[in-house]
Amino acid sequence: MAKRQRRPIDEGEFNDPLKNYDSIDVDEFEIALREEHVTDIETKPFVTVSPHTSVGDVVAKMAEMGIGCVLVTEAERLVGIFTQRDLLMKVAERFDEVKGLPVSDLMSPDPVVVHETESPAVAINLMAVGGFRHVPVLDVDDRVTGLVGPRRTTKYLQKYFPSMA
Amino acid sequence: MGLQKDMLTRQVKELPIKPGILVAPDTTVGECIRRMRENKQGSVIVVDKHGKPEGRFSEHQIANLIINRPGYNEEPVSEHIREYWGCVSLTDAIVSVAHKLQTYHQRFVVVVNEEGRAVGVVGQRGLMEYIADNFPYEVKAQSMDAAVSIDNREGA
Repeated sequence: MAKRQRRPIDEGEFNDPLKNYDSIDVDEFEIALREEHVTDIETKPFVTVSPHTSVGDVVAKMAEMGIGCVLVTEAERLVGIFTQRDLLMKVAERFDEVKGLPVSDLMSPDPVVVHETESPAVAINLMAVGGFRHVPVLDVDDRVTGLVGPRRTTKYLQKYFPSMA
Repeated sequence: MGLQKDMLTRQVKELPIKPGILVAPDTTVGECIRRMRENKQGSVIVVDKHGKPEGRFSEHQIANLIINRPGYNEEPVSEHIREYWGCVSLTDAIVSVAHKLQTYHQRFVVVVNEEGRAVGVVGQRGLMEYIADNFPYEVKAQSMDAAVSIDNREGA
């Protein structure tokens, strides 16, 4: 039996509907924001305290470690967050009055969180649209596994702009 | 244009620049804290008589002052200005903000005009807002669980 021969393509017959299509210029950074995980941003270390820790001890710890935020946990569950903004708004100038109180009295309870499997874009959304500077990271069992903050996010951004490093 | 290229070519003036709290070097720390609290901003810019930035004081320094420096409220802020910090001009590329934030370990940078006068501040949140505005589908479409209260928000 004679072999079938392919008929050469006659370009005049086929009108490519995508011929004039301009693909979206999506760069590596956009892809990473969408497809990486929040854990690709540095999320450790982070500091936790119990709700009964005094405000004085929390402030001392923040001063000693030079940190802007502590996570308040109870039985491995996140119950609140105390940040340097809470320090500014609720503690500065009245430290002697409040230093003996438990941090649970002054913390921001039930903070907004992001899960490990979510994308960096979600964390950015929370920071940009929600206005949260520090966002705790939880695992699938809702245990705290990390913290995303401003320094770590800008370090992550810089990964995609090496010429500026 | 992709976001990466966008941030390399667009200028700082396209970011959400906040007016910033400008104070003289002899302003007390207590007064700076009061103004930061009133304006719900985390920093002040210390400027000279020509409006040129000399340094910054931020909420990040408060914990250390409370613990280690009794009486800090009455001290002039000039004694607590941070040594290393960076400025960007309105015409610098947006990516330079990320670079300065990272290099100087700051939460914000001061934006200056052609004469070197402070015209505002922009920080990590401004960068995130810019990315969210230019990446709306992926970023802004994300659902948020907690209600946002103005009083609970942290800003630059």
